[in-house]
Amino acid sequence: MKRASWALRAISLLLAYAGLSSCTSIEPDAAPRGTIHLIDAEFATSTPGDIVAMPPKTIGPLPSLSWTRVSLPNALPRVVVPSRGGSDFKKMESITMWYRIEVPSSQVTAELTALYLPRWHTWGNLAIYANGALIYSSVQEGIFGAFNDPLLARVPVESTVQRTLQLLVRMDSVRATGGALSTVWLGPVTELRRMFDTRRLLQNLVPQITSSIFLVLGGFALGFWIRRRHEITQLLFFVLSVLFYLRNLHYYIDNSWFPDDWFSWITVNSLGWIDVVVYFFAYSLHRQRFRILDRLLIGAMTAASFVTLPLRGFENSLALFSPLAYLIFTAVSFTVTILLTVVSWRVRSLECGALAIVLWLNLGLGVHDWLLQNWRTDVESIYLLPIGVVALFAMFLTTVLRRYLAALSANEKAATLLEVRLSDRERELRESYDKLRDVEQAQLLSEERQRLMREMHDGLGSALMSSLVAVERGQMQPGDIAQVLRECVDDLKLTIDSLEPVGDDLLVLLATLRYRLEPRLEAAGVKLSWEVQPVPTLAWLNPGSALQILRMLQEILTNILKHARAHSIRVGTLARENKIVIEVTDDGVGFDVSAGRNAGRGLKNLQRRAADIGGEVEIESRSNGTSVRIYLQILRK
Amino acid sequence: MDETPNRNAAARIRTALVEDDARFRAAFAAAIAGSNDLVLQAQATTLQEGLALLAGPVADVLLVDLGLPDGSGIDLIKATRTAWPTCDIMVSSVFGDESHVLRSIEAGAVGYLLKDSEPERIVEQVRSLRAGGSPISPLIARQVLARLRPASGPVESSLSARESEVLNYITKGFSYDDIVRLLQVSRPTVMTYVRRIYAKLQVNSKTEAVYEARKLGLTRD
Repeated sequence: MKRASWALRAISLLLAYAGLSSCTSIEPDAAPRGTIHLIDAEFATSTPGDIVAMPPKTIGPLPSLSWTRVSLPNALPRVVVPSRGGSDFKKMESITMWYRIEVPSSQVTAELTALYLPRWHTWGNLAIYANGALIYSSVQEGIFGAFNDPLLARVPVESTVQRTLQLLVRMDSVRATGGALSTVWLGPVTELRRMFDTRRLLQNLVPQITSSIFLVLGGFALGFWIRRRHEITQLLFFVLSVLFYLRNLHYYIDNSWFPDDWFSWITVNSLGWIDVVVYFFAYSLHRQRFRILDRLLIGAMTAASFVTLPLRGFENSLALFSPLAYLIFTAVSFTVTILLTVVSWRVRSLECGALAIVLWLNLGLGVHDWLLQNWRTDVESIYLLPIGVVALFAMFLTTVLRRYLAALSANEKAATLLEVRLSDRERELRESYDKLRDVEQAQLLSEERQRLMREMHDGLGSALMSSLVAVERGQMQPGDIAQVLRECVDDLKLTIDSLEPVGDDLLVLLATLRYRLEPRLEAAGVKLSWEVQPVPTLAWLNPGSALQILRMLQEILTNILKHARAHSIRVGTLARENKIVIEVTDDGVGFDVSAGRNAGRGLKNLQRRAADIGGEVEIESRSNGTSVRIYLQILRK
Repeated sequence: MDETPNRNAAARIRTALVEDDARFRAAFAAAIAGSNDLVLQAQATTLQEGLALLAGPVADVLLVDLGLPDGSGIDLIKATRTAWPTCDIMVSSVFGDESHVLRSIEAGAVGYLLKDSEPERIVEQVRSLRAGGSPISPLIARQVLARLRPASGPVESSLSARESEVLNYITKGFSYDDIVRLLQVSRPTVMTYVRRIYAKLQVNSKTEAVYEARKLGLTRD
């Protein structure tokens, strides 16, 4: 893509160079063999002229006119700011210009079969006489047909047989706009046709071909812009192509079928709007905003376009004022170009700089064309702006094409980019999740460590410590020692069981306790009936609370084994409202719940443990048995 | 050689013990000696000695400690499965905690014995094991249910509906006797279920090992 844009840039520079070099060698007509180049003439004017009248078939020597010797090309200068105007050039003050050219008799041969005029310019018609006989007459009805067309006319054989040849050129024109005649060529028709064709190519066909091509490209850009409205450059390209097309029309069409005033209006205004479009196009390259200038340009150009509308308010044909209008546009272009040059230097934009160079070139060409329009330079020169604008278009095309390619590759990249971004986000999420989990785990670990420390300190540690002291003082019987150690081992087993992952399942916890204690119950000959019912899961059940539940039940069961002299124990669970009830019932001897120091302490112990996990304990004892109920809340805050 | 002791020995349950804790060895030997149907055929104190035992006469029940001074009892369990396919392997454990027991079962053990068991209990456990009974704690049952969910893997290592039912009862604290009553089956049937579940755990752990190895590229199909 980069290479393509460089190639385009190179082409645009080449075109600009070609335009520039043609500026220095604007004479396309080299003298071929057998041709005569006539540059001496006699000139006279007569008034009033007759712009549209059919010229007479023959004409006399016109001795009454005051002839002066002139060199061709010759022009009757044009008034830049006309004092009086009108909407119809046919009704303006007119003038007839006469050119009389003597061909030296030594050069008159039968080979001179054609006459070629590189340029003639008048707002009226032209007629050419050879030895007083009409050999060519234009059919000009409008303004624009007769300023940029070369002329090729046949010289009749009768004119050359006498070996004397006098040419008379008559041009009718509007006094304010004057007229001009280039040098005259005589020679074989084949040679002159070649010269004529070359000039037609440069003056008429190149503008026609380029503006048509750009119009097609502009249509493509328009299509692109319709689907992607934010690509303003595409729209600008389209608008420019339309303006360019309209602007170039007058270089190659004969507008006799289209109202002159409207045609002038389009031709002149389109050039101004091209300035405006180029200005905004430059914005898309340098991204520097000049809001006041933006508004000024658009406002001024809109106002100018409105004021010059060929309606009742503006009675003059704009063509009459075109030299003045072009001067104003040139001044505007000059300002815009200077601004762009400064900006492109400031933002160090290569593209912008290239555009500035192209604009400077076109400005030069514009000045040349203005001089040509007003015959202040070689009349036989060709209009260069329509050719120079190609470089401008190349600039546009480069930019538009690059945007287009960028859009395409952005589209292609979007998918992979999306994938990359997605996986990035995924990775970030995973990382932050991992981090969070690590933190959580660290906190859990720390909490668990603290809990185990507390358990060891208050439980096993203190039991072992007090027993150790007692043993050392000889205050303990071996049986008691075994009893203490047995309790310690039991508690250690409970602690280990509480650490096993039971999830939030209370029944697994109870089952584990039963599994542990079953051998002891069997050994004691106590029958256990297991009557658990499914209970809701307890979300709050963790190793800490599991251990409390296990200890409570173990205490209840070992108390039964120690004191109750029971034959059977029933363990049951049920869910009631928002609570789970664990009930342990024995058929033992029972005890007085309110009295008895040991029983009271055991009960308090149970209640403390239950309160620890937000539960309650209820004991009901009769002479034929005891029921202990542990109430646990299903949902804990 | 006199044939009478041989015949007597054949009728008895021949046990072997691999254990480094001298007290427990003594306690176990005493418990066996106190019975009339059990005999302690061989003893070892290290993994190497234990592996050497496998070259000798086959035992009916082998009791292994996992924490041997020169290696893991798991290796001995695996070796025994191959050398003595008819032997019921039992693991001795202080707490009978889930991770120890489960690993042993996966290696091929079918039961475990708590070290603080009463002598009568030791004898009873060995007899029960030889008769086809295997203990299964609620916590292990819960783990097995999670690992061998029906239709979670190949048929040979996923639980049947009945096996799941048995495990579910066990997690809720019901004893084998309770289950016999609840499922209306015989006690040996329940025992068979548990043994089958153990076998499936073993198969499952092997399949998982193969799967893991394949994932790591250690084996070719």
